[in-house]
Amino acid sequence: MVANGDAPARGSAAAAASLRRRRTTSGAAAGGGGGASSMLQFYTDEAAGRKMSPNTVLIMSIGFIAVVAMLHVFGKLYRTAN
Amino acid sequence: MVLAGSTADHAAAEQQPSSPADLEGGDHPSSSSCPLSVTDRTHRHACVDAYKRIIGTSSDSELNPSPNSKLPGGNTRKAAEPHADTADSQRDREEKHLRASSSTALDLIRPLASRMPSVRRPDREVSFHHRALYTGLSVSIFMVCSHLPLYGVRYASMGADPLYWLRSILSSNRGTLMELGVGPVVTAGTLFQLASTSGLLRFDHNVREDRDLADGARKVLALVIALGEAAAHVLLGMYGPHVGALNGVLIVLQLISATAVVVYLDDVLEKGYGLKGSSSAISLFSAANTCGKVFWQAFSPVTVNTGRGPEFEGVVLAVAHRALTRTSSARAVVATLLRRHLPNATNLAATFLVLLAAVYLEGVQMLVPLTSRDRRGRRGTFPIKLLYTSTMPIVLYTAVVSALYLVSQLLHYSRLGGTLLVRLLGVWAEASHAAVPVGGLAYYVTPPASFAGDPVHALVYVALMLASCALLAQGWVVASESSARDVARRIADQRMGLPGRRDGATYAELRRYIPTAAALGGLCVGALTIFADMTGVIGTGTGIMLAATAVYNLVKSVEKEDEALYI
Repeated sequence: MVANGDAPARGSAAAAASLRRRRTTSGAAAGGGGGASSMLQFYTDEAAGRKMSPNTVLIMSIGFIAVVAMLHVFGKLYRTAN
Repeated sequence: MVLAGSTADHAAAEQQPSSPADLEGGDHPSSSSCPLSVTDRTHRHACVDAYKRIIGTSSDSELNPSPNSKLPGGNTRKAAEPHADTADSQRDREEKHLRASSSTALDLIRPLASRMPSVRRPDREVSFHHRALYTGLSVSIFMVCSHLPLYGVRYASMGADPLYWLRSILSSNRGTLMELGVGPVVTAGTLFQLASTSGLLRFDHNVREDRDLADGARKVLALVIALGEAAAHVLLGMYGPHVGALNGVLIVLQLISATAVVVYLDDVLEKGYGLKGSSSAISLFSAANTCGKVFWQAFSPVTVNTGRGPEFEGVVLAVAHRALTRTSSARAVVATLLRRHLPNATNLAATFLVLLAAVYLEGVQMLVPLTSRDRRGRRGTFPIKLLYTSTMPIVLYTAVVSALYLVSQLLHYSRLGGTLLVRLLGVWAEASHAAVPVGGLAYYVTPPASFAGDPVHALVYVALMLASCALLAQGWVVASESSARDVARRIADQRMGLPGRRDGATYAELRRYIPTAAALGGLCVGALTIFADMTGVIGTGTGIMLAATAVYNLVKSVEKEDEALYI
């Protein structure tokens, strides 16, 4: 982090603030927990809920519209047949 | 909205391009520029996020240094993202250890919220025309849904519409799948931000896991609110008293699914698959709804049979029809142009006038030149728009007025109908499509049909509207942290300042303009809305202003992307 000369120029003082926090607490926290979770980091990221692609969302929305349209059609047919 | 770049949790903000044209130099875009105590500031930013999503914020300010103009936008962003990611994840783990105790409330909803499916972020920059395609498809889906009637409703038994006044800001259409409109989503967002700022839910916007959890929680909340509202609609007789159990359940299911559609379409557009200017799907949807109404009232081929034979509902068609058939005299054409019972030409003309005026006002801005303190020759500009708070004043005003209407109507039609307090609040009478207030406070905040009818009403309305818009604009400037002091601080934090002057001079210079811009902008927006309401603009004044803002931002961002593509 320190080696990256761009860090202050990012203008993100949030990064700077947490940089400082990280340095002061790194001794306490990073020792035990850091090692194990860094291995599993790849898996935990995806575990939070299923990730869908946007195409899925679009197709499911169009499917929903089709379902409601079918409901209307069958309702009309059923009523006229009755 | 001017300083939208400071919202830390808004995923779209991280992926928006900064304005390329104004800056030279090779700094990559800064993601969030919250200088001070991260959690406090980000909470406040998040609090106003919900409303910003209604109006759709424009891309972030020119404070953020642009990617090197020689490279296409994608390269620098790709280089920046993995770097930010590893830094992010390391910071995440640190933060989690530190704040384990404060997120117990979040833990309660964790099992449900973490299981909500969400849209995957793109792993590389999505090309412009894919993004345009996604945006177009999403808006089309919303439009189709908002014209597809609900199954199970008997149309004959639907009476006057009690929620008529809310329809414009919620972009909902009565009796269709989008009966609830974007209401649940916006309400969920607002409630969530309120809960997080008031300390009930504490989570850090920089922690990726917490952000995802918050996303999931918001979705769950939106669906729960949709369930509540749908059940209320059915049970309180919005669809007539004899809906029946099966139809009622079907209606509720349809409404919840429609809200889910809105939630996930919003997610798609936010995660980076939408056009850059549309930082909020909600503003796009309401703009699309308004534009649809304008188009429909201009060109509708539906014929209405009044005493004088069938007439087209659409203005243009009706005028053309009248001019081309029979022995049309000039008087007949003029009569069609100015007919009262159906949309007429003055509505259409007023709509276009208001749109033009809104677009013109959006472009009025003052550029404050800035140079960098650290690097020579790196310049930027900070624009102070006349509409400094964009359309927030009238959105807030409309929300308050709609709440007043709801409460007043509820009271009026309940047992307490005749008491003095209720009559002061508002007296209602049934009109053709909706109940109309005819007395009390509710009457005075309703746009009057003309000046001559009741001049006191008109004067009170104008005065109330203008005063509240100006005050709301000032208040919003403080709430969204874009006052002169906040902006000056942000400029200083990015190591920029006015050329040739000390750092302290930035604040003085900004203070000359920003409060005036905010108040004047609020007044302009209020005046334009008053004009729109009094001339009967299609889609109500607020709706047209929102649509104008959303479309303007969209067009601007498409222009910017076009420039970046050529470079």
